[in-house]
Amino acid sequence: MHDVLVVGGGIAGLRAALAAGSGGVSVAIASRAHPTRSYSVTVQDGFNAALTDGDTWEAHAADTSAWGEGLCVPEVVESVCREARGLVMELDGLGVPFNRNGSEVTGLQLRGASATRTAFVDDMAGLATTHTLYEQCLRAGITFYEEWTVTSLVVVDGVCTGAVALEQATGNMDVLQAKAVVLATGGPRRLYEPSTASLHCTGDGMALAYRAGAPLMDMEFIEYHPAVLKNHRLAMPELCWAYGGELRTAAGSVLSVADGGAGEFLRAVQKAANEDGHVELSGPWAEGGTQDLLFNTQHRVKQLTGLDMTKDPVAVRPAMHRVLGGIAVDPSGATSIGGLYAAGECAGTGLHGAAGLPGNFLLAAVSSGKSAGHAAALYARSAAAPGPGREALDRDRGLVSGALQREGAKPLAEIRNELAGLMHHNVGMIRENAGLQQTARRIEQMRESYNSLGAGSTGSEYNFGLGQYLEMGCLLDVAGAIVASALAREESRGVHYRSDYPARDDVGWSKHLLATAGTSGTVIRDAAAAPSA
Amino acid sequence: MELTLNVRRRGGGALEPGLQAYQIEVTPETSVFDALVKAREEQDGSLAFRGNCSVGFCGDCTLMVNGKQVVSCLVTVGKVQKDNEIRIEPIKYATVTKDVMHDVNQFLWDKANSLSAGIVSNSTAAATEEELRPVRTAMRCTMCGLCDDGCTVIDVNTEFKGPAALTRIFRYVFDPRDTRHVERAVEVGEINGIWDCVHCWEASEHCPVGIDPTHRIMELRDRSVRLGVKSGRGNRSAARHYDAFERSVEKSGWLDERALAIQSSGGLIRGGLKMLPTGLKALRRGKATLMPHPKRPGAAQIAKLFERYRQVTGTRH
Repeated sequence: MHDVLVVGGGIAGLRAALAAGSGGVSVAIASRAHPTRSYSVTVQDGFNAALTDGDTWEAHAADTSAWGEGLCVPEVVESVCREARGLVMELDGLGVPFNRNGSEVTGLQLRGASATRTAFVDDMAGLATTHTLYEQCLRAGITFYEEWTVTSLVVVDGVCTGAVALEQATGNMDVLQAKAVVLATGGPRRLYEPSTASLHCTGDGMALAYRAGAPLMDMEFIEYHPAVLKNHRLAMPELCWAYGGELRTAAGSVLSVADGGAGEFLRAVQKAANEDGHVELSGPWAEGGTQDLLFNTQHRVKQLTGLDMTKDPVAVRPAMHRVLGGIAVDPSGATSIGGLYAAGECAGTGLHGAAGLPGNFLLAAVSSGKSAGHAAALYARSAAAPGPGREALDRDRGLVSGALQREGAKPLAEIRNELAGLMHHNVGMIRENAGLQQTARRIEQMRESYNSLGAGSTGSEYNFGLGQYLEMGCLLDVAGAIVASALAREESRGVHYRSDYPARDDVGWSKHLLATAGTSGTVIRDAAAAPSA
Repeated sequence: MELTLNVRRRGGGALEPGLQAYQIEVTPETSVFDALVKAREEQDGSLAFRGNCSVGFCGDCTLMVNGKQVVSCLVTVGKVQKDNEIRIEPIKYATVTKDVMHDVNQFLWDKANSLSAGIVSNSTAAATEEELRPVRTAMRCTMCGLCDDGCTVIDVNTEFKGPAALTRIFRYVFDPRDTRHVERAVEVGEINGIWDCVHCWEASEHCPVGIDPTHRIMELRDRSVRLGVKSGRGNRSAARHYDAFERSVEKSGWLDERALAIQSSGGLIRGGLKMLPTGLKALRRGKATLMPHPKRPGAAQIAKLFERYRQVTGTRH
C-alpha cells in the first residue's frame, strides 16, 4: 500500500513521483518497462523558458497562445510559462546538464518562438532528463514496480483507491493500493501508422480513465511531425531547423512554416510527401561545429540509412506524433474522479490548444508532473485508507483468464494494422464527415471482433500476446474518443482540419470538447467555454 | 522480401532450448527489432524479447544478431541477412530469463543502482559549458549494456560493476554541481569497482555512441587519487601504486621499481617487511641492488614536464 501510486515511468511520471515524495508520503511507480526505456527518452528538443533578460514569460505565453490558435486555456498557459524558468533550473539542480553560454543555461530559438528560449542538452534533452529524474527517484527511495501492466483503476464510490496490475514476469495479478493515483502513461501513437510510436504508446492511461468515467478533452487535435525519417520512426528534432536546416520538396522548393499556421504547414508537407514519396531535410550542419550538438541525430540517421546528414539530404515524411488533448484535468492535475490525477501526454491540460508550440512538450511533462505529484500527495495526506479492491481484481482476473483461452496474434495484428491505416487516412491531417463516420462504424465492428479474440498464447511468464490483447482494447477506446471528437468539431483550427468545414469559427467553436464513455459509445459534450487567447 | 528469423528459444516453462524459425515479410530497411516485433505480433505472442522505442534511445533491444551484440533497432535487415536468414540470440554474459530476454536486473540495474545515484547539488553550485561537456557526452548512454557485454572482467567475475555502472559514477564525480565527489570515489574504489578494470578497451570498442567507457574509468581512478581517496581495499594499494609511480618518474625521470614495489605494498616499513623475502632473493640473483636509484639523463626536462603539467591541471603531488 502506498500513499501515491504513479502509473508510468517517463518524465512526467518520474517528476510526479519526486514531487509527491518530497512531501514525506510513500510513493511508488508502476511502469510497463524500466523507466529509462520509456518513450520520453526519444524526445530531443528541449524546454521553453524565458532564460534571458530580453525575454519574458509573457512573451512565451503569447507565442504559445498564438500557435495554439485560440484554444489554449489562458490560466494554464500563464501558470506554465511563469514557472518555466524555475522548472528548468530545478532540473539543472537535479543533474540535467543543460548547454550553457559560459555558466548560464542558454536557449535556442525554435519555430514559433519570438526569442531564444529553448533550454537544450545537445540533441538529447529527453534522454538526459529521463535518466536524471530516474536517478533522483532512486535517491529519494521511490518504490518501483517495473514491468507491471495496469489493467484497470480501482474506483469505489467515485473515488480512486489504486489500480489492478499484472506482473509481466509471473503473470500474477494484484491490486496496487494507494490513496491517490497519478496517471502518466503517455500518448497513443500506435493508433496511427505512420507514427513516431514506441511499442508502449498505446494510450493505456487515457483508456483506463475513460472507462472509469473520466472525460477526455481536445482529443480531435492530432499533431503530426513534419519530418520523420522515411521507413522509420525517428523524428528529426526541431533543433535541426534552429541550426539552419530546411525542408524541401524533392524538386527543391522550400517548405516553411512561415507560409501559414502549424496546420497549414503540415498539410503542405504531407501533400509534397504524397506526390514524391518524401520530402528532404538538409542543413549547414557540417560547418559551425554542430558535431556534438546534433550527434545523437546524426548517429541514428547513419545507422538507419547509411547517410551522413551533415553532407546529404535526408528523406523524411510526416508521421503522427502527438495527441494534444487527453484526460481532462484542472490546473492542479486533478481529474473528475476523486483521488485520480493525470500528467504528461495522457493529460489534457489545455496548454497546447489547437497546435503545440515546439519546445513546450517536455516543459508540459515536468510542469504537469510536478503539479499532479504535489496535488496527489496533499490529497493522500487526508484521504482514507484504500480498500482491498477485491471486486476489480476478480473482474480483471476473469477477463485475463478468458483472454488466455482465446486466439490472438495474427487476427489481432490485422485489426491493429487496419485501424492504424484508417486513422491515418480518415482521422489524420485532413478529415471529413463521410470518412469519420465510416471510421466510427468500422471501430465498432473491430470491437466486436476484438471481443472474440485474446492472448493467443497461454503462458504466464512474459506473455506478450496477452499484452498485445490488452493494448488493443485501450487503442479501440481511445480511437472511439478521437473520432467522435473530430466528428463533433465542425470547423478547422490548428492541426484539426475538416475539408467540409475548412474555416475557423470562433463564434461557434471557441470551446473544448469532452469525450466520455456512454452506454452505446462515446458521448461528446462541451467543456466550459474557452475565451479566445 | 521474405525473411527467416531463427530465434533462440528457451525457458518460459515449456520449451527445450533451440532455434525456432519465423518467416515474415519485410523490406531491406526494416530493422531487426521491427522484424522481431512483426513475428511476435503476427505469429507468436509467447516470443520474449525487450525493446520499446525502435529509434535507439531506450537501450532495451540489445541482442546478439548473427553472433554480434548490437542495438537491434539500429541494424537493418538488409545489412545483416544472409540468404534471407538472421539468427537472434541473447547477449553473452547474462542469465536468460526467457527466449532472448535476459535477467537485466542481475546483468545491469542491480549493479548500477548499488552505487549511490543522483547528484546532490547545493543551490549555489555552478558549472561551465567546458566542465559539463564530458558529463553530457557520458549522458549519451542509453544503458544498452553493450559495454558490459564486451567486458572481459565480467566474463570471469559477474560481480564486477562494469563500465555502464562506472560511467554513471563518472558523470557525478566530474559534475561540479555534485557535492559528493569524495564519497562516490570511495564507493567505486571498493572491490569490483574502478580498480578491477583491466583496461582491455573492449567497452570502448563496443560503445556505439562514443562514450569511451574505458577512458572514463581511468579518469575516475585519476580523480580519486587526486581527491586523496585512499580507503577501500581496492583503492589503498592502487592509490599507493599510482603515487609511487608518479613520484618516482617526477623525481628521477624513470621508474624506480624497488620503491614502487615497497610503496605499493604498504609504504616503507610495512611494504619493506612484506617485500623482504622477494627483495633478498632478487639481490642474490643480481636482479636488484642496494645502490641509490640513479636519475636518468634528461631527468631535469622530465621534471619540467611535470611542473608544467601541475601548472596546467592545478594539481599538486
